[in-house]
Amino acid sequence: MMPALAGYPYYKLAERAPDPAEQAAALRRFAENLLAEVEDTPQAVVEVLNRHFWDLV
Amino acid sequence: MTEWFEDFGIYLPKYLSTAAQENLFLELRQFPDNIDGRLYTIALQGERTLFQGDGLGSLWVADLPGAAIGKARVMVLSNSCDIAHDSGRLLGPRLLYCPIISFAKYEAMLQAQEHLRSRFDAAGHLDAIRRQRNSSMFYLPTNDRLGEDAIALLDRINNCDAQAVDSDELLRNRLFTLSDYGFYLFLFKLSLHLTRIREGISRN
Repeated sequence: MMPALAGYPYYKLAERAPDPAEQAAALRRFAENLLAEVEDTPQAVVEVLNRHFWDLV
Repeated sequence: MTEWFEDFGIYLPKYLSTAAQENLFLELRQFPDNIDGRLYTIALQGERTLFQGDGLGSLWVADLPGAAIGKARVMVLSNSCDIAHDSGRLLGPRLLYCPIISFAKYEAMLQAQEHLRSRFDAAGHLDAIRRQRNSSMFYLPTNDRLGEDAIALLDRINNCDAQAVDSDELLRNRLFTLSDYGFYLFLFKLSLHLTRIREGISRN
């Protein structure tokens, strides 16, 4: 089983009821930001990456 | 997008406390201005479990069809539960992971390619990677263990027998564990890379 995911030192906010409308808006913005301008690596770059792979790791 | 956002709760992790969920939304709200150390957590540093999205310092990597095999930094793609020792599977679990490359070396490599200059905006490409907009690359901002900005290559998946991996050594060499926000972003990008319905092919 997964360990308990609690007691994060990074997160310090007090417990409070989440606002569903705010959360939906935040999630929408996040998704739109990621999906708006998705870039696929150009084939010419992939070929260079293939040739130099072991130099980059 | 309106319709499916009415049920947006189904796209959220159910196990988070109210406070952790609020923090996740704080981070999602700030995206993409928080693609930095906030992708990582130190809360799980001592855990012996291997988590999905973990960075590992050294694991065998092949780059088929090339015959060479070497050790490299990698990012774990397997679901945490699938590779847990007590997962109760009949078949031994395989660990899926992809190689991590140096962002600086990648940048230098691109700049050295004169034939690319006239037809390719290298600066725009590198910026897209940093803003997590490249579909096959997950940008990894530097942390203490990585020591530099890096890129996980999601389209170069490797696998090995999870039981053949020395978990003690792996955990000693763990480079990072993703935070709730980092993990959410990672799963989103992994889904986008592997399962987006954008192929434009009618199959019937």
